[in-house]
Order: sequence, then C-alpha cells, then structure tokens
Amino acid sequence: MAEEAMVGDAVLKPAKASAAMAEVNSVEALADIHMLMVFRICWSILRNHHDAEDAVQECFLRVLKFQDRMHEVRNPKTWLARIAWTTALDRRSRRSITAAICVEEGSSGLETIDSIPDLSMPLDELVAGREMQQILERLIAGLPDDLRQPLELSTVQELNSSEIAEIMKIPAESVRTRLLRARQLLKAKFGALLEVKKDGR
Amino acid sequence: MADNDREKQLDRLLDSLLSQYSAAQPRPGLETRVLAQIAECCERKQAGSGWRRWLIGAGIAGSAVAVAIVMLVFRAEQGHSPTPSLANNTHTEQPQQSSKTVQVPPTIPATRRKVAAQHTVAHPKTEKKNREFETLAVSQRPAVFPTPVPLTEQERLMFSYVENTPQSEVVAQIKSEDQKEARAFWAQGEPLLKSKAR
Repeated sequence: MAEEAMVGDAVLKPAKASAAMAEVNSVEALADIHMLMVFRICWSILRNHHDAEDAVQECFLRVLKFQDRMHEVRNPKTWLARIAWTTALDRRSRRSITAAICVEEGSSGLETIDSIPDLSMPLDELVAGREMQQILERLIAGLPDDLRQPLELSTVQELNSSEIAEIMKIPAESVRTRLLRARQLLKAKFGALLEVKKDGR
Repeated sequence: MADNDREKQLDRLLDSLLSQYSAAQPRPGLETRVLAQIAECCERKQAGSGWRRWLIGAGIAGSAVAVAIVMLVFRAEQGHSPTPSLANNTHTEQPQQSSKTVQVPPTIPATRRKVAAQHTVAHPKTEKKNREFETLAVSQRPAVFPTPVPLTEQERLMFSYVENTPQSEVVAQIKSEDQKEARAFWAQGEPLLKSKAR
C-alpha cells in the first residue's frame, strides 16, 4: 500500500510540477521577450518610473490570470501590448494624473513659455534638455483622447501603426489619420509657443 | 521660404522629441521582481487550487451523506405506511406462528395481543414482522389510558393455566391457598397482638 502511494506520488508530483512550470515558463518567456516594450507602453502613458513599474507588474499578473486563453492568442506581442496599454490607462484614470493644459489661455501657458530654452542652441542640445521634453508632455496631455492615445503608442519604438491599430481595435487607416492630426496639432502649438517666445525676446 | 524652413525645423524638433518620448529604460531589477512575482503567484494559485479541490471533494461527500440519510428516512417512512393492513392481518397471522410462541387468549384486547406477540420467541421468519409490530406499537397511540403494557411471563403462564384448568378446581385451589395464607398471617400476627395487648 505504502509502495503504491510512493509510486503514485512519484508519478503525480513531476506531472503537477511540469504543468506549473509550463505555465510559469510561458509567462516568463513573454516577460523575457517583451518586458521593455511593456515598460515603454506604460511609461508613455504614465510618465513616472514608479507607476510604470507597478503597471508592468500588474500587467503580467493579468497575463497570468488569462494564461488559460494564451493558446488562442494569434499575436502574443499585440495581446500583451493591449493588456499593458489598458492596465496603464486604468492606472492613469485611477490617479487622474491627466492635467490638460491650454497654451492659449491661463497662467499655465505663460509658465510653459517661460520654460522654453534658448532656441539658438543646437537641435541636439535642445532635444536632450529636460525642459523641451516637459513641454512636449504637457502638449500631448492637452490633446483629445482619440488623438493622444495613438500618439503615445506610436512613440514606443517597438510598435508600428498596424500593431497600434490591433491594440486599439481600430482600423490601421484611422490610426494613421489620427497620428497625422495629432502631429499637426502639436506642431501648431509648438509654433505658437515659439512665436510668443521670439516676440518676448 | 522662411516659413518652409521654420516648418522643417519644427518637424525635425518634433520628430526628435517624439522619438525620445518613450525611450525610457526600466530601472535594474524590474525583470527579477516581475518574474519572482509571477512564480509566487503561480505557487499561490497551485495551493489555492489544492484547497479548492479539497472543498469540492468535501462538498460532494457531504451531499452524498445527506442523500443517503434522506433515502434511509424515506425508506423508513415507506415501511410505516402499510400499518393498517398489518393491523388487520394480526388475527390471521397468529395461528401460523411457530409452536414456540405462547398462546394468547382471545379474551385479551387486540392491542395487548399485538404487544404480547412481540415477546414471543423470535423465529427467523417472523423476526421482520416482529420489528414491524414494534414500530407499529411505537407509532400508534392507543385509545386506552393508561397505555397497556405487555404481559409478563408469569401473567402469561397464569392465563394459560386458567384457560386449561376447570373453573371449580381453580376456585378450590384459590380457597385452600387463601386459608393457608390466613393461617400463616394469624400465626405470625398473634404474638405481636399479644405483646401489644400487654
């Protein structure tokens, strides 16, 4: 009897362990390959290291929750990217960190103008400066949701427009149109800011 | 011309800024933390599923026991249902019982006879019927109060004796026994009376 149990245990334990290991391995493999992309998606939306890292962890926990359906997934990359995107959006809406700014009116516009660095600087230095990045963040935050979301995803190097379309579940053509419109708006706002800065000088 | 230059400059600036917008690197250790959390979560899930399996097993076992109890109760109730026919058949069945049973005279009320029948020596064939009678005696509330009790062995012997012996002989015996008892009483009582009189 004891021998039977031992034999049973010996047969069952590795089977259980292998099933658990397979589950872990599949998620681990995803984490291994796409960790950077997931982090960048979260970062593009949350703009904060702590929040982005928390969102990454939450994302992989969600993946673990839905791993039973992983074999049905056609494209694991976009599936994971969508989970990361929704997780980050949820987190942002929870914290309501979206602070829309209006360049044309209010004191926040003036503060933005003040923070613009000297434009006589070379482009590389301008771009590398933290101030310009902060201005861009504010301008993007001021965009409407339907333009901001594809723009944020497009800044993640690992994603192309068709993948963004798959993540957002909209046609690829719509993604391109929205990106173009977002870019035009950003350019117009940047142009306006630079004009004001030039006149001020 | 100047506008075109400005546009181009703006485009380049925007391109450069957007390319750096999400070019952040996670802090070291994030991957380790995430993998550790995944492993921990899997372990917890395994443990949770083990408990769930035990709970399901316990639930199934509990429901099986409940069903078994309900079945037993149902069967017991079904066993009670044919009581009227049993009660009617007691008269006819009694003569068929084995010779070991003690004869109960017909003058005793029917309920008493039923109860008396319980005390007959159990025959394998009649054992089941006796059990039914027991349940019948318990379940049926008799109309007579106080509740008739079964006859004792001595009572039954006395009844059989009275049945089989001529009345005159019984009367004579009772008289002789009474006289003997009276004599014995007076023989015991006389010294006491005398001592009290003194």
